Amino acid sequence: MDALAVIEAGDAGTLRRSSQETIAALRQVAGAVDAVAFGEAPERLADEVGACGAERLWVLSGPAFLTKSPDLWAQGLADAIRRLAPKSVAWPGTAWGKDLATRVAGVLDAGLADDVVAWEQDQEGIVAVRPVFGGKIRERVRVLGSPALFTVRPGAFAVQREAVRSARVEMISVAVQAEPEVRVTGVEAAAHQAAELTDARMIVAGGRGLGGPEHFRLVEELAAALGAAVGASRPVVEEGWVPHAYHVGQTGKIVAPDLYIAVGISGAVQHVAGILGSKCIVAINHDPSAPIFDVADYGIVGDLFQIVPALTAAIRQFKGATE
Amino acid sequence: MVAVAVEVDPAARRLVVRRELEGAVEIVETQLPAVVGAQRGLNTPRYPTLPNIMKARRQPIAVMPLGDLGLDPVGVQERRRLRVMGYEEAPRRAAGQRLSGEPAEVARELVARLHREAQVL
Repeated sequence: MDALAVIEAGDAGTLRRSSQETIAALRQVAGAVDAVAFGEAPERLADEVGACGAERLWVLSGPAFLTKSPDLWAQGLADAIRRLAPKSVAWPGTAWGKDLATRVAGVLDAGLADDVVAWEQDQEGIVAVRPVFGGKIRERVRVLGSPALFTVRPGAFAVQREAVRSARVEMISVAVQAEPEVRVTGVEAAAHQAAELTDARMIVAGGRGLGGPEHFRLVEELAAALGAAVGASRPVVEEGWVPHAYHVGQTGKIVAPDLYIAVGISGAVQHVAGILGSKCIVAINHDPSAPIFDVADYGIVGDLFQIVPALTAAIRQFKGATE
Repeated sequence: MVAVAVEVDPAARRLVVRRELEGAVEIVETQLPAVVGAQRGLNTPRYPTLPNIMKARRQPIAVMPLGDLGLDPVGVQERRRLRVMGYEEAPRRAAGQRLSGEPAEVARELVARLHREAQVL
C-alpha cells in the first residue's frame, strides 16, 4: 500500500462524498490505496470503499473509538500510520478531517499540506496544488519527509466508481492513552439545511439584492424545487437575515457544487473565491456590470422578483416532465 | 477545534465549546489551557476607539530573534516540513452567456440549457 485515505462513514454504512473524493484523489498519485475508518465497519462500508478503488479497509476498533474524541482518535490513527507506513495519508477537508489531520501531524511531527485541489507525481514524490490569496493564485508545495499528510478540498476531485468489488476488511488494534483531553459530549443536528453546503451538489444562494429577510423565501422556494441547499452572501449573514452557517465565501464555506445559483449577489471577490470550484454558475442580478457575471456560465440580467419565481415554476415543470 | 460558541468555567478550569461540523453541531469539553480557533459569528468584535488607535501608534514594537525563543535558526530549517515549489495564476473561468427575454421565457431557456449544455439537471 502506498497511500492511506482516512474516511468518514455517513448514515448506515454509506461513505460520505468527501471521503469518496479523497480515495479518488489518492488514486491519481498512488498505486495502491487503502482506507482507514473508526469504530465498527458495516459490510456496506467495505463495499463502498471497494467500489471507490481502495484495496483494504483498516478498521480501528476498541473502546477508545466508540465515543468520539479528537485527541484519542488522532493518537490511534498516528499509531496505525506508524505501523502501516504509507508514503501519503489524506483526509477529506471537512471540519472532522481537518481537525484529525492537524492533530496527527502534531503527534507524528509530519508535514501537512492543507486544502489540496490538484496534484501530480514526480521522481521525488507528490507536488500538491492549493489555492492561496482567495483563489487567485495556486501554490505548489511538496511535503518533506514521510509520511506526507494532506487534506483534500471537497468537490475538487471527481469520484471514480468501479464495478462492485468489496474492500478486504482488516481489524487493527492500537494503543492509546486512556484519558482523552478533549471529549465530545454531544452532537446536535443542525437546525437548518445550510449545514449541508460542503457536500451539496446544488446550491441556491441569496444576496442583498433580495432587499430584505422577508424575500429570502424566494431563494428557499427555488432551492426546494431543485432539491438544493441554501446559502447566502456575507452582507446578508451580517445583517442577520439568515444564520452564519449559510455564509458562502472565502471566510464562510467554500463550496463546489455541480450547480450554483447566485440570486441578487453582486459577486465580491471574497464571495467568488468561495464558489470558483462550482461546475456551473448561474447569476441573476439587475446590475449588468455586477462582477458575478464575470464568473457565471449563465447570466440573467433583470428583476429577480420576476425571474426567480418563473425559474422555480420552470424547474417544477421540468421535474414533473422527467419523473 | 474551531468554535462557534464558548463557555468558560474558570473555577473548574474547564471549557465547553460548540463547533460546527457538516450537518451537525458538536459540543466539546476540554480542560484549560486549550487552543481554540474562532469562527466568524462567534462574537461581536470590540472595535478600537480613535484615541486608542493613536495610542497604539506610539507603542514600541518588540522584535524577538529566534534565539530568544530558545530556537536555533539552523534547527528550524531542518525541521521544515513543507517546501513551496512555486506559484501560478489560477485558471480563469471562461466568460459565460447572457440570457435575456421575458421572465418565463428566460427561465425555460435556462432550464433547457442546464439540462442539455451544462448537464447539471
